[in-house]
Amino acid sequence: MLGPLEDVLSKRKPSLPPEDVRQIETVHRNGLRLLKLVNTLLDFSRIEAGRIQALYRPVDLAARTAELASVFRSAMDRAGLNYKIHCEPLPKPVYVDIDMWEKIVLNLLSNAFKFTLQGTVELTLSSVDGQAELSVRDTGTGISESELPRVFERFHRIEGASGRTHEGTGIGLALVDELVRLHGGTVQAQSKIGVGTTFTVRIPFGASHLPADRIATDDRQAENTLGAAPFVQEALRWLPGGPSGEEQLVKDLANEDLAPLLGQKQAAGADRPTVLLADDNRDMREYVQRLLGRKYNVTAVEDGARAMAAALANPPDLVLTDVMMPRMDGFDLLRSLRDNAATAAVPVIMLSARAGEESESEGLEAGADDYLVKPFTARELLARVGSHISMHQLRRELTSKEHQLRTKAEKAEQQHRAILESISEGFIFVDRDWYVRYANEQVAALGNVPLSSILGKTLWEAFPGIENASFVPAYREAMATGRVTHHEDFYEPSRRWIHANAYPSPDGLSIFAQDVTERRVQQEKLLLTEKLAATGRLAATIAHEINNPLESVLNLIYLARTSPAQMSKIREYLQTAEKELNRVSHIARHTLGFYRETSIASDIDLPALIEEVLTVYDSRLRASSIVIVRDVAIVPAVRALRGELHQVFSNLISNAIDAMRDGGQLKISIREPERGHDVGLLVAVEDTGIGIPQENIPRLFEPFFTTKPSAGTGLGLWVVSQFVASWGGTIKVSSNTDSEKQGTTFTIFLPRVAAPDQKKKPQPRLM
Amino acid sequence: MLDRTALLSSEFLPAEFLSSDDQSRPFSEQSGISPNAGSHTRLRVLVVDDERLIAETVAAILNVNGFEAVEAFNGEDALEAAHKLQPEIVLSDVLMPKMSGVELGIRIRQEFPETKIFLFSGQAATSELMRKAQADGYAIELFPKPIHPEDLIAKLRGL
Repeated sequence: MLGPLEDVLSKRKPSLPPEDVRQIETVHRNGLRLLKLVNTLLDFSRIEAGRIQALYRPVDLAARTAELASVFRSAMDRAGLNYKIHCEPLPKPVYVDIDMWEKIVLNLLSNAFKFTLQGTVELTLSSVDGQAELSVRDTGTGISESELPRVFERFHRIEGASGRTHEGTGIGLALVDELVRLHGGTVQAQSKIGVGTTFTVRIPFGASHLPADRIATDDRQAENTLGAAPFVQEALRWLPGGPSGEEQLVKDLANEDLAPLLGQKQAAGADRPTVLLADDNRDMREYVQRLLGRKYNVTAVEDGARAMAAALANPPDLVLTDVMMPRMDGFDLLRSLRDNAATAAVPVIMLSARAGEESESEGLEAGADDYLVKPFTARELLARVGSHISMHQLRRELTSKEHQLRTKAEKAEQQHRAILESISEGFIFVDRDWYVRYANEQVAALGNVPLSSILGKTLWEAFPGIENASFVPAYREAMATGRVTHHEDFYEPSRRWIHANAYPSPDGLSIFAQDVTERRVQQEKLLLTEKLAATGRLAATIAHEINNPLESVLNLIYLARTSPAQMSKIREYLQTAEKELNRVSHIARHTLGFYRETSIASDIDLPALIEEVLTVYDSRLRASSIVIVRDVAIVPAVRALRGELHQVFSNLISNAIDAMRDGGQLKISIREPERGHDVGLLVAVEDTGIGIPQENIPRLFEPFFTTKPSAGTGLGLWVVSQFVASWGGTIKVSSNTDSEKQGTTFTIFLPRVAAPDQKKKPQPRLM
Repeated sequence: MLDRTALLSSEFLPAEFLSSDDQSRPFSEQSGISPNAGSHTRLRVLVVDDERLIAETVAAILNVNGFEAVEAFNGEDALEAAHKLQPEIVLSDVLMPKMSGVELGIRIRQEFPETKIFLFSGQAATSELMRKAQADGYAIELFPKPIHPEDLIAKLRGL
């Protein structure tokens, strides 16, 4: 019944809810009581049936009894009792059955402990009148005279006695009486209410009073005080706070329920892990040694200085140390161990009677690997010692393996480093907290800072001013989303254009940075040249629109001047001329507007602007018999540079006209995107022209790409894409060359605010 | 934007321009200047421009200055008129719907090899068309718009 419970309890921590654990512990405790009762009753029945085979040996009763009595030491101490043990060496050997003697001593001590709430418990073994006399005196509640004669009766319990517990079977003292009788001795009780009780056991020296066939002469030093466990265990349960460590050890050992933790008992030898124990308490040393000795080579010393010396002589796999010790205390030992290279890595568990979290954190802060507060259970100790030793061994193994791995990694890293140093691009690696873990010389050059000032800093510290460039959002996005980002911007501190590709990984971000300043300068030049050329082309177009009416005006004035006809006709010539001049001024006013100041963004009515562009191309549109269809919604103004917008739509409309040599339809659509989308306008320029072959579409926005070698410069659409990108907009193209539905549509998304940063030049985004 | 159709509609022209039944020759007939009819010295000029006002005023000016001028407003009409008129000179705008001045010139040259072709244009963009025509062996002279009527007359007389 108890075995499975032990199993459950030993595995409890991770799997069982605390309530269940408490219930199982209760069952376990009651189980233990029942076990003790049953065992005692069995003892009786065996005795009475004559089946109990007492085996009497000559025993050093003083030593034996002192050892037994010391088992109660900590229980007594914890109960605040003054516990005195006087075991004088006896002049002659006493023949006892060790198990029975244990039961006698322990029952008496248990009884004294149970009924003594304060004061003294005193055990004395001495030689009195040719007999060995054991007395257990307490300052307990006492027994009334009427009750006294009945204390040795089976199942007799004294009603109303104030003790530590009401638990009790009333069988302990009866057993003592029986056992003493088996030894040819006597037991007496003296008591006074409120003063205390003394039990006195007397056993004759020698063996003459014992049956000769039950005398053993071998000197079997039996397994010490294992039978003490249930008594101490029980006694401790009567105390608030439960059993303490060392008693628990004994109990646990006795019940052999620690098999899973102890594992196979390992043969002593060099292969076993070594534990160094430092404790000034001899009992503690012995118990711990006994417990751990089954599995480990235990060296026990009584103070920190000796422990340090032992640790240096032969570094252990684990150090268990008490906190309070003479000469060198636990903390000093810990510091010495940590300060010494040979022992710095050895796990240290500190043991202390000082309860409370304070000392635990003190120990952990001092660098202990673990801290066990007495009382601790054997299970606890074994589990923690076991786990720290295996962790230590694992670490040692890993350390040696890590060395190999590190060598390998370093070799690989050197190769990678060589590659990274040799590439022309800057390379920088930042961890997830943006600290620069690696950077090559090229990065330093790009950032115009010494390499030494980059490493170990955050990206923002390493490259001051980077926050002002638009790299930062791109990097953050890469880190956050795990997606590769490409970005290009001007880095002010080094006055360079940088193209950066950021590759995220679980450890951080690898950034490859390229100096594209030269390319940008070329592009800027090209853009400027193209702007001028576009202006020129536009001027020519406008010239046509102006020159035609001027021609009419000149002719009309000539006619008026030279006509001999009457004044009314002359007036009519002049009126017509005036109308033509109005036309000229209208065109000039509307088409030359964009020649004015173009570096200041303004709110622009896009449909009106596109009408102006159409005005400019009126002749060409008419010349090519192109019908214009408008699908224009009422839309808000956009903030942009008039000249840029003009150029973009001029280029698109001009392209459309070129595509429709034999006439067609040019459709202009302007609307706002669906709700929930970006704020801005969608503008589509749709023609029914010859269309663009699919294979050309990907190259459409490349500079100098043209399908009209005799007419085009190949810059028109490139300029369009550059401007659209600089606005933060997008351009899409769809085209069809099938005769049925041929034509091309350019769709531009134009943000509500499309003016680029005034300080900076347009910055294309690679699409 | 001005409505060009409205601009070119009859209400913008002097009423006398429209009094003639012959819409193709309003200016020359109605300008009040007596044409030098029947004279062998009168050069026949076909004036072509999709801007009606230009075609009409140029034709009117030429008619009062000793030419026999007829106007047309597109390439097709011009070819038809050329068959009637047998012009010595064709004066045409370059940028016109359907058939450009360059194309018209080439067609005229093919049918009437003796006819001289003058193009006038308001923009330099036509130079591409001109280069192409010249490369094909057609010597076509180009006047810029606007050209002063006296300069035009002098040019045509100087032929």
